[in-house]
Amino acid sequence: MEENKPIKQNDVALKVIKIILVIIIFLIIFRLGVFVGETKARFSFRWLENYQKNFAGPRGGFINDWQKLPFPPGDILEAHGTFGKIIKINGGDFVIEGKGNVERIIKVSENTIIRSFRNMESSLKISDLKVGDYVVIIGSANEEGQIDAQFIRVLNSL
Amino acid sequence: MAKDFQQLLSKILVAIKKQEIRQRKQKMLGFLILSVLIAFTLPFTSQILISQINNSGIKYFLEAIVNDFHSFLSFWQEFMLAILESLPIIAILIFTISLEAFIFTFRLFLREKTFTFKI
Repeated sequence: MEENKPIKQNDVALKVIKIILVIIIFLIIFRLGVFVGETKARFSFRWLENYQKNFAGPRGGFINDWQKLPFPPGDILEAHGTFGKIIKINGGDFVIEGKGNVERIIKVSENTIIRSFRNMESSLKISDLKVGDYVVIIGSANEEGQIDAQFIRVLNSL
Repeated sequence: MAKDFQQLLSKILVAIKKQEIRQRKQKMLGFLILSVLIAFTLPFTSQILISQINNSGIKYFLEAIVNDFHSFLSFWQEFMLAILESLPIIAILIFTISLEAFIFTFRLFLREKTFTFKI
């Protein structure tokens, strides 16, 4: 009878450890969700706030109150990665039409790696990109609602 | 006297078992109907999940990782954040809940079935 006691105590301790681990995992996932959500919301706000500057004209029209500007269609915008068709190229940056037909400015620096889907090894330059190319962009959002690209993959089509 | 008591007892036991079988059959039928109903929702929820995954662009990010793992190692934080941001959470939740509910009710049905046929 007494021999069972340590086994039962071990079982209880294991259960407690399991519960604590599950709680920790949930908290990590929750914190990650909050962080990702905040990043997306901040980027969407900056994108909307800088729309007039970036794309020469407010999305809701010049007469509308800025507080009543319509939110971009669909979900909140992603800040670290996007994909879409190049619709305009301006020197060091280009504009893509991404998910939900939302236009985004992609900033390209000299550190940005541009790779073609056809030729995996060779690096491309921004001058090699053409309007109509489909691209996948990985980068980070800047203060002006643009994406500073760090890695660009040029695809044949989406 | 003792024989009558034994007969009565066995009758009571048989009646209890019959009642138990009847209740288990009712439960079995209920779980079967419930699991079939939930199974009907699975194609819709999986369709929602597939379309959301296609729209999210996750497959392009994963393709980029697979095709250029060296770049992924260099920019793993941005890659991971890009994937996390584009995860179709709602569709994943809806699909997981419907799948879980189906497995749960189907297991209950199987359990009731096993018990019923054991009796």
